Amino acid sequence: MPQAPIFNFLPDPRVPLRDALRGMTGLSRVAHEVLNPATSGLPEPFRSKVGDALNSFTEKGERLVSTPVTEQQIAKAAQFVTGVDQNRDAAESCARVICYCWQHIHDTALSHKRLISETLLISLLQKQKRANCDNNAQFGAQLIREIRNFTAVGLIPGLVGNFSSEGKNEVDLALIAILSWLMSERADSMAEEEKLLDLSLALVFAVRADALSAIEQDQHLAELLENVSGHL
Amino acid sequence: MSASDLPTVERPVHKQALRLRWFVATFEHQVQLMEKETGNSFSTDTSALAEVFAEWLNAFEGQKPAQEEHRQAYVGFAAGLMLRTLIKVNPVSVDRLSRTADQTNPAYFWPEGYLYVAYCLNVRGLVLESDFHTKQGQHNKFKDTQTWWSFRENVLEDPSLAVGFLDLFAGDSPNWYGQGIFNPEFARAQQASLGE
Repeated sequence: MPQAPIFNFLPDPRVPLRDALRGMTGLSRVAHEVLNPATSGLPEPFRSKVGDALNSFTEKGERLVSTPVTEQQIAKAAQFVTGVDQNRDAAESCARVICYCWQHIHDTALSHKRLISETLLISLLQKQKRANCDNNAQFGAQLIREIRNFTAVGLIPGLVGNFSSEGKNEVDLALIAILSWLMSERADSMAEEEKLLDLSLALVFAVRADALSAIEQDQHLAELLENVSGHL
Repeated sequence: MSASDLPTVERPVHKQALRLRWFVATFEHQVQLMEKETGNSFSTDTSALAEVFAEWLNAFEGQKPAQEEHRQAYVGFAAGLMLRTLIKVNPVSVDRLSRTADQTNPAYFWPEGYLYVAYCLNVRGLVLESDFHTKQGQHNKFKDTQTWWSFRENVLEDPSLAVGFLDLFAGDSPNWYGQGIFNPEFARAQQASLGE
């Protein structure tokens, strides 16, 4: 099997296009942060041109990454999370939907930029078995634990990253919100599903202290997921 | 405004009311109705609404009675808890008052408070009507400016008084000494006096 590159600053050509684009938009943001102090010394119009070029690169990448998921994919993802369907295509749909939700939350609510790898997530989800858990909430808690530990999320996914504690908290809260939303009753339309996802995040942030306390212990996390999804 | 203005639901309303999606949808609907009726314009902070819901749900679950015979009385109390939390968190702000705003009218005297009371009364009435087949009354104090002066001054200092004021607006005898604690005996006496 080919070795993964040691320095993951460039996208691996074997990674699907969506992951590659996520990596590029992430690089663009990192470049912005790194270059900002340097460009402040540049005279106009050069300073603006550097900014415009990076913005354009980020925007193009983001439009392509943000291809909406369908209600059918969401239903399939929900079936995976609730153990109804554990086949490969359900795992793939689940990974796809989680990544879409991540992008949506990332764009609208989070202050810390963290990428997520769909490829790594598919690989991870396919290894999870609902049969090992007593109920759906416990399976949801298991999924969150596995995703947190697997480095599917990071500045560059696949690399063990150094998170600030606030960044780590945001990742945890976002994962709880996404899984709670998937475990809850489906909405009537795609627009309603997106609104429901926003509400899930708002609710998880409203009970933030409880959520961050629960996430370290599977049983408490399972109870929290059941509570949030049941009242969403 | 009446309970029939709120969207109809298929499940028992008291079950729907325990879901954030229903709370947000009905609250936003109430805001739209209020804007049409008063000419005022509002902005709603959805994150703050989620905070209201989470805090209210915690309070609701904390005092929910086990006995079936106390459930109806708990409806009024739970609506009072919602009013308390809405006032405390204050998720709505007024963008613009109607050009013809008359400050002697409670809807313009305290637009946010009026909106919260209207919402809580409507949900209270809807649950009582659809799940317990009981009609909610309305006291003439609901339109009285003096009562609203007292209401605003008191609840901004002590939000738990909202429970008693909502009972008053609904035409029930308020328990001013309850301090936000459900008292099934008081509620039973209240129901009995309404039956007379």
